[in-house]
Parts: sequence; structure tokens; C-alpha cells
Amino acid sequence: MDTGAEKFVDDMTKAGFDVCVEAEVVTFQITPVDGAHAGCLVDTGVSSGELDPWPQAPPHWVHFPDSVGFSRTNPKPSPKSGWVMHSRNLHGWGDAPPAVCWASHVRAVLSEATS
Amino acid sequence: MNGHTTSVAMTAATERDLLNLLVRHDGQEDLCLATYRPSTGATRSSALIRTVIPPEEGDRFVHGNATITADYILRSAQIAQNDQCGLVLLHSHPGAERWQFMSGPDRDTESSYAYLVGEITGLPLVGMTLATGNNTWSARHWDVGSVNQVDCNHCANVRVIGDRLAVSWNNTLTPPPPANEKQVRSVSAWGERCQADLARRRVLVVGAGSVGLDVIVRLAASGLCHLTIMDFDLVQIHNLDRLIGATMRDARLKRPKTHVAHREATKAATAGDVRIDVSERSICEPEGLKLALDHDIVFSCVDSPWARAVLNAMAYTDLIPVIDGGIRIDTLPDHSMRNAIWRSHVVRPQRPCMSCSRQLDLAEVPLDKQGLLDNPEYIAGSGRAAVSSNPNVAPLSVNAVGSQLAQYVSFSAAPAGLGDPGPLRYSLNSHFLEHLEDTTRPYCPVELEEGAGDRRTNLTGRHEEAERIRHITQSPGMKTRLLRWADDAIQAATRRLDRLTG
Repeated sequence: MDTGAEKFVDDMTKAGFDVCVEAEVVTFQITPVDGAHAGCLVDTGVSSGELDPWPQAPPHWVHFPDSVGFSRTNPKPSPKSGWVMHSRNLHGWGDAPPAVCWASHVRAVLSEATS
Repeated sequence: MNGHTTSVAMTAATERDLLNLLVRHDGQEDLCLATYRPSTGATRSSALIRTVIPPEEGDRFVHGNATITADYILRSAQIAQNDQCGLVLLHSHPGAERWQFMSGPDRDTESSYAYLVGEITGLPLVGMTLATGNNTWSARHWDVGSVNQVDCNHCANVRVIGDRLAVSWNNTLTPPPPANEKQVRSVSAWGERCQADLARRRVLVVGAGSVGLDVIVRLAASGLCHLTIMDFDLVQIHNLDRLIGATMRDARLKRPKTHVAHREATKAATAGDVRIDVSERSICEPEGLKLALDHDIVFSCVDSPWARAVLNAMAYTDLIPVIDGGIRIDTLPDHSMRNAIWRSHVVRPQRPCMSCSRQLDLAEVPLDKQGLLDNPEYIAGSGRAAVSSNPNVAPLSVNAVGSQLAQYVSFSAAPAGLGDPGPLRYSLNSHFLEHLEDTTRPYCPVELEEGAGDRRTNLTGRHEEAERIRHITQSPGMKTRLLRWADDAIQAATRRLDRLTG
């Protein structure tokens, strides 16, 4: 049986992202359209342990390298060295294919990045 | 699967497809094949019918009876194997009207393919018979023995889930309980047949709080023979304004809520031979979900997003209808009441899931799973309110109970032929009852898993809060143990007195 993390990798790959797994974090790159990193490729990730319920429930914590900063955030250290995970709830889960929803969510989070 | 009871479940849409193939205008017997996914509970294995495979030209011969070809069986077994499914062989008994046991030729046909199909699919062959006189199903799992000695395990029931729950019963394994004088008014409301049907259903109530406890007591009073109560929580003093039946003694003795629910349900039960099981598991734990899979219908009386997500998914993945409901009280800034809203619905295939009907935010599930919804540090950082601080009052929680039980009666007894009414919402300040018109959202990841059974997405996991509370209730200090012993002795004496006077 595929695990949630395997399904996440599969779904994101089908959605056109180049996905890999490092230090229990599933990572890929995304280009935000707004915020401090608009138009640039930004590394992002999700803890594989948080992906068990994928695609029925989305993960909560969005991981970025610590160079990505926000003026207001509720952060915790990521298992991936030099990264931080930020508390962000996804709204509107299920309105689009899960991978598309997740990519939109990450772009929305990055639109608030200040550095 | 040996040692388990067995069952079959299908949606009403699947049943319609099967009836179109098996009920012939010329009155002859017919047959067809279908695939199924197993759904394995703690004591019951269910086959969830997934895809009907209609016969093609030359796949079967109808000559009064019907004969199936090996090609049809092999082709279908391959389809089943490719979809990680088992195979169901179905045939009709024209004009029959009750659970069918097998004739010699039926047994010969099914037993001759049982081993081969089991080898190809890795799952036991399931045989089913349709009594076309009143569309009663019967079924068996060929899961006993091995190689040329495969034998069948007759199912306890076959469940069809549509706008009502239609159950065909194997009266040998699950005989109809006799109605008694305590149930005269119930029987006069919906008839002996309905009473015998409802009484035999295995019903699970998840959550024995203000809503769940009342639901449990009323189900027991209606004559149910086998009821299960699941809750890991314990009675606390702040519960006593809503937990009707719980006492200060229960709170002082750190009694689990299931203890109170069992006591109150036992007092209220009217069935002659009643069995009330309790579990201090969370539905979010793998063992809790496994136990739930043994049931025909489940009440969701919990407000935790994680627990509701597990129940929501189970209604689709394992075809076990979930009667869900709840109450929300809003207050104004001066702490006076603004409004109270209670909602109820039957969560099942062909109805929008809790997420699509906006009763559950699936994005809250990981937060709940990580214990963050009541974590003061996280709450402070996020600026949100703790879940456990939601207001509730006893005079209103009874409305959520009533609304859920009304859904249950419509779904079970279908008054005037009308089944479950769909999602309902009652607003207290305007006293307005609304039929909600929610629809399934495209790409709903929950409803897409209909009939997945044991291949469902795993929403369960370790539940640290449940473990912590179980430790409190199951390992009390010496003084509490002694007081519990004295309390148990008083309760036992009361029960004995009730039996002597009853």
C-alpha cells in the first residue's frame, strides 16, 4: 500500500514539480508570484511524518530555508538542517486536486514573505 | 479471516446495477460477477462490493438455472486482482423471499471456483444470492480451509446503504429478538419487522459526552441488543452541568465516561438479552477504528476534527453510515448568548462528506493530531481559541441529540418511505429549520475513496491524550481503588434489587 508521503510525491510530480526526500522532509521548488521572492525559485518542503493522511487531509507546517522570513509567524525548527517550519492552515482543501491546492497554498504563504 | 463473523456491504447504486443484471423478466435464474475490497474489523470481515462485471455474450448459459463459464470467472478474477480486489459470484433465486442457504448445485459451483479465485486474487471468493421476491440478499465468504477443502462462512448480514440502511439478516446466525412488553409503544410506532431489524443492528456511539450519553441511553431504551460505547475521556466536575446521569462521585472516582454511559444504558435497556460493550480507545487509534468496522451504523458525538475526520472517511471507505451532529453556541462580546445552531446529517455515499458540507475543516486534522488545538504555547502564538473552551449547555445539547436520533429513525425506519432527509440546521434565535443544499466538491479526496476498505488512507495514529487519560482512569491510587470497589458493590446490589423487582 502506498503511504501518504509516497502519494504526495506522486501527486506533486504529476503536477509538474521535481520532488525529493531529504532528512524526513519532502522538498520541491516553487515560484511565488508575490512577496519578497516573487518570480524566483524557492525551496519548500513538508515533513513526511505529517503526510500520513494525504490526500484526505493536508499537512499543517510549511518548511522553508531559514533565509525565507516572515514579519508574523509561529515557527518551529525543521528536521532539515538550516530550515524552519511555519504554522499555516490551508483553507479550501478539496476545491482543486490536492497537489494544486498545496502548491497554491505554498505560493500564498510565500506572498507574505518579507525576506 | 477464520474466527471472524462475515458480512457484505454495498451502496444502493451498486445494488441497482446488480438488480438490473440478476432480475429477469422471463423469471429464470441469472448470475454475474463483481469485485470487492475487504474491510477488516476486530471481529468482522466485510466484503465491500466495488465494481460490477456484467457477463458478455457466451459468458453464462440460462436454462431455468444459470451456468457460468470458466472464461468469465478467470477474466473477472484478473480484473479483480489488477484492482487489488476479491471476486464476488452472484446469482438469483427467482421468487424467493428470505435469506438463502445453498442448494447442492450452488455449493458445487461456488466451491469448484473458490480455491482458484482465492489463488488469483489473494482474497476469498464471496458468494451471494438474491431472493428476487423481496430483494433479500444472502452471502458467504469462502474463507475456511484450504486447497481442495475450501468451505464457506455464512455472513451475518448484507447491508445496502442508500437513503436508508436496508439490512438482509441471516436469521440462523442473528435471530430476530422477541419484542417484549417494555417495547410495546416502540413496536406500535414502526412495527414488529422494523423493531426486529433495528434491534439486531450493531450500533457504535463514539463520544459519551453530553450528546453521546443521551443518544446511548435512548438507543438502549429502544431495544437495541448490541451497543458499543467508545470514549477515552473521564468524568470531570465541569462536565456535570451537561452529562446527565453522571455524579460528583463519578468525577471524584475518576470514572471513565464509558463507565457512566454503560451504567445508564444498562438501566434504560429494554432488550431481553442486551450486550453493551465499552472501549476506552479513541476512534483515531488503529484499534479504535478496527473496532468501529464491526458495526452496522455509527453515531459521531465528538467535536475533535481528527476524530470526525476518521469517522467521515470511514463512512465512504468502509460503507458504514455515520450519523453526525453537533451544537455550536455563539456569544456576544459581553458574554451573553448570540445564537445556538445544531446540525445533523447522515454521512454516507451519495451525500456530501462532512468536509464538503462544511462540518469539518480537514486542515485542522494535523493540528489536532499533533495535540496543538489545546496546546497553550501554540494557541498563544496562533491567536486562536482552544477547542475545549467551546460553550455548551444541557437544555440545548438535547436538541443535537434529538436531531441526530431523528436522522437515525428516518435512515432506519424510512417513515412514509422517506429516508434520510439530508443535512439539517436549526438556528435558535430565529427558530428556523433549514435543509442544507451542500454538494460534493470536485476532487473531494474523501468521497473518491468510496469502498477502499483496508486500502483506505490511514488517518489513525498514536493518540497521546487518550493514552494519558487512560493512564489516569486505569491506574488510580489506592484510596480511589477502594472507593471504586465500594461504589461497584453498591451498583451491583442495586442491579440485583432491580432484577428481583423487575
